[in-house]
Amino acid sequence: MCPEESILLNLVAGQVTVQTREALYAHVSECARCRELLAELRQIHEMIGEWAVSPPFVDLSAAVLQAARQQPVGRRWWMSAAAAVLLAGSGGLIAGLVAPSPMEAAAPVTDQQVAEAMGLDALVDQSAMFVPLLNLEEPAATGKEPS
Amino acid sequence: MQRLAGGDMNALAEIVRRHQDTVRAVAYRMSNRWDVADDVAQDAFLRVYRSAARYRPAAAFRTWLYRIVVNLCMDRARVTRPAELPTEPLPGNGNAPDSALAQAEKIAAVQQAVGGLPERQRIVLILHRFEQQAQRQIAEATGWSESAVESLLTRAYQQLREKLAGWKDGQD
Repeated sequence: MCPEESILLNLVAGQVTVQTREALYAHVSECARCRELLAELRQIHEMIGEWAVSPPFVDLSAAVLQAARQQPVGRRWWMSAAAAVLLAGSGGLIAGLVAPSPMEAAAPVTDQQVAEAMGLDALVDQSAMFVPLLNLEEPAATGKEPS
Repeated sequence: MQRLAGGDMNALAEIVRRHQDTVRAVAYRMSNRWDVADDVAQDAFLRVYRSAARYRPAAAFRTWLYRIVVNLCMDRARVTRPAELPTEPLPGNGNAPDSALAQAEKIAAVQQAVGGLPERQRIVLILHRFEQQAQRQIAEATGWSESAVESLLTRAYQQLREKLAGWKDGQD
């Protein structure tokens, strides 16, 4: 039985076990169709591998560090927003009790104030570590490319 | 990563220096633009920094990094002007290149052919061929099933075989 083309691609890429490689070569030696397909895949594999890229020299570490220092870790932005609203509302309520003025604007709050108000040591960044890729529908078995 | 999670900024610098060329190369092959590649790389390392405290070594760091990079590339592709590559692959004449110019033309044809692949095929191909990632690792990096990765890789090679038919050695 002929192997799937993806298996032959693994063979070309050197990503099969020794046993699998031996089995595949044994099959290919007796199957003209697979032998021809393997040769084509190997040729394309080598050809596209010739597209070497040499990144222009640049050291991104300085820029990354500078940007990182401007974004201290520990900001769960949505918690900040929610807590800021809560705190602003609480501040407005307290302000209203001591000086009734419903139209008085709430003072801006810092993340530090939010954290302290919520009894938190830190606000954790909500940036997803493992964000699912968008449009995760899988290719149909018919081979149609998903939209 | 543990050091980075502890706030050691030198660790971040080390991570950047160690992986920036890989990240930039992947992003460049996705976008064909070095300015985009550099922007993606910076954003990727900032995400690494922001997420360091929650990183768990269940998956290899590089797999995790690839996922960040692929996500960013896909996001970028929606808003960034693509590099101008010819829409039709350079034909080739079936003969092996016998000069530096011919070799350069062949490489340009490869770049064009890869750039013309549908986005997901291109992602899988780049990780498989240029980053030597196994199909299982690509599935982990992208979040797609292994069967989806197999299918995408197979179709990518089918398309490349068609587009680069004129460049194969010894073709009549």
